[in-house]
Amino acid sequence: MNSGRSERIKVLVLGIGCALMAIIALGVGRYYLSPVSIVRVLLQACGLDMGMDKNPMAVVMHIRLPRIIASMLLGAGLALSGQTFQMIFRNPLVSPDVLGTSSAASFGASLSLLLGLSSFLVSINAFLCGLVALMIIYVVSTRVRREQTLSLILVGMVVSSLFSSGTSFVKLVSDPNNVLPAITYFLMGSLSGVGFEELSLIAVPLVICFIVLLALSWKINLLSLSEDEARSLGVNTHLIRLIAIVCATIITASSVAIAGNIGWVGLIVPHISRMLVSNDARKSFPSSMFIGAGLLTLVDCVSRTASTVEIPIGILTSFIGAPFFLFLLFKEVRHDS
Amino acid sequence: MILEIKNLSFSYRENEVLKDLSMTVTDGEMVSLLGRNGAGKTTLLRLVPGFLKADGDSILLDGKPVLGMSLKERASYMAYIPQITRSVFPYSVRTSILMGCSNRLSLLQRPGPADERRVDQVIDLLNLRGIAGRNMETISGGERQLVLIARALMQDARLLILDEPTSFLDYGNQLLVLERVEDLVNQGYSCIYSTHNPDLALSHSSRTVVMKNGVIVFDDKPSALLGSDILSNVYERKIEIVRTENGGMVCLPC
Repeated sequence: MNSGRSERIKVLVLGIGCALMAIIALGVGRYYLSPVSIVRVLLQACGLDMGMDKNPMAVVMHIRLPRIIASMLLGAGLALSGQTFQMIFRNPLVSPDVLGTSSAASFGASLSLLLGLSSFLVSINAFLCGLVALMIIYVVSTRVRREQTLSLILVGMVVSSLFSSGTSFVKLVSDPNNVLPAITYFLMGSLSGVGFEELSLIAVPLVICFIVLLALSWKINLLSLSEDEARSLGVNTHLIRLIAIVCATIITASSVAIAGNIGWVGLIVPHISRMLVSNDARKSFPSSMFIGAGLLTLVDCVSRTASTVEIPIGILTSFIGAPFFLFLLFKEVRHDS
Repeated sequence: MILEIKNLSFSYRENEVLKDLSMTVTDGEMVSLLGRNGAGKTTLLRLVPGFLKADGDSILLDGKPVLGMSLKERASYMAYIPQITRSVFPYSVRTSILMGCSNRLSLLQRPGPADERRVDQVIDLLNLRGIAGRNMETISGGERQLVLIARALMQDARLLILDEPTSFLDYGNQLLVLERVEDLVNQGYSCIYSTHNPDLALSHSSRTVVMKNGVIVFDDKPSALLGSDILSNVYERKIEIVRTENGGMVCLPC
């Protein structure tokens, strides 16, 4: 079997695994439903009469479905965003918050919580702050007379630092009994507050960014070569890098806007995808998205069922991510020696 | 296709590295560039494809200024092959060659079946079938250079620009790479390459250009170096160029 075909089959298998994970996740929780029941609920929701009661319909369609759609979209998005940044910055250790948009979105959310705004407005402000950070980074970095990639990273560090300071200040002045715990809990990352309203805010920009990045996957391959090589192949590296950064940043800001900081997914999933499938973004982008979606949905299942109190998802992804990162470092050392 | 370089000067800030340099490269020519470190060889090779910006019309391709061309148009005229570099995300040999067709694709377009078939032709042309399924990380330095040359052929570019293509290669691979390039030049391609090995320049080029401190001090057939002290002056030690029994030439440091 040629390698291209086997890679496509692996992507397909990952896609099927991701769909199965979604069906299982819809059934997991205090009110357990078997996968067969889940399929019946979904068919009934599509208009077929499957004889399901109101309770399972309500639990699946109104409580779990928006949460699982969110975990799938954000898992896929963070993985895709992480892989895009890794390829355009030619650095496998880069994560989606490399340009500081996560810090900016966190600041937006913290400020909104301090002002006592609704959860929907918290998400909107977080998203808008992420976009403001992106604009600052773009405007400032284009005026710095340096190599484009380096100036982006340096300006990103500055922006990240500024917004992190802003978040610390918001925490300092917030009420330690009510607001401070809410900010802290939000920033730990959780999908518990996600409903269809929050999803409607981010779903369209996320899907548009997914489509653009998948369509650009071949050209993003070329950005991982040296700048001279990519340009000698006739590729407008500045334009493609700009589009890719805008899309990956919007994905990151969207994620923080509705679920807070979810670390590590955007760093480790691209590595798993490249190990399992290929370095070629035409295949590793979809496989990263499937692995990210499946992984975040699995972690979310654990976060809401492991104990009586829901564990913030950001804590669990760090528990998985940190040892995996060490594994990668050891693997790298063995490879070099 | 004619590459014309006319009165080209170039500075990095205050430091002038190329001074009023003129030369041409035409179809079927294999031009070697010799000179010490810092002579301006790499700067020249990066100016030709427009990676560095020279004066508007000092570099012309078929009479058109290179800097006036789009990146795609430039890529259809010339292919740049860097020194051996390790990619952070190494691709398969096949995918690496396929990248050469990117200058014919629109922004959101991917390579199609016709491009895949062309990859097969190029693989056969350069005799790379044995390594086609392997990863770039797992092949030798010489094979990697041949893959980059194959990628250049996918571009359908007629001018190959090679920056020290034989660095880091063992002697056998140095010869292998230059012989393959020579085969292509015999088919009508043209090539300009830099090297630190005068013996290779003498044996594998139709013309040799010798640079010193940003100035061309010699531009002629390699045989014209016989009996001259150009290389001795450039490398600042006595070098004798002698003919071998089979008609070749070698440098002998004295």
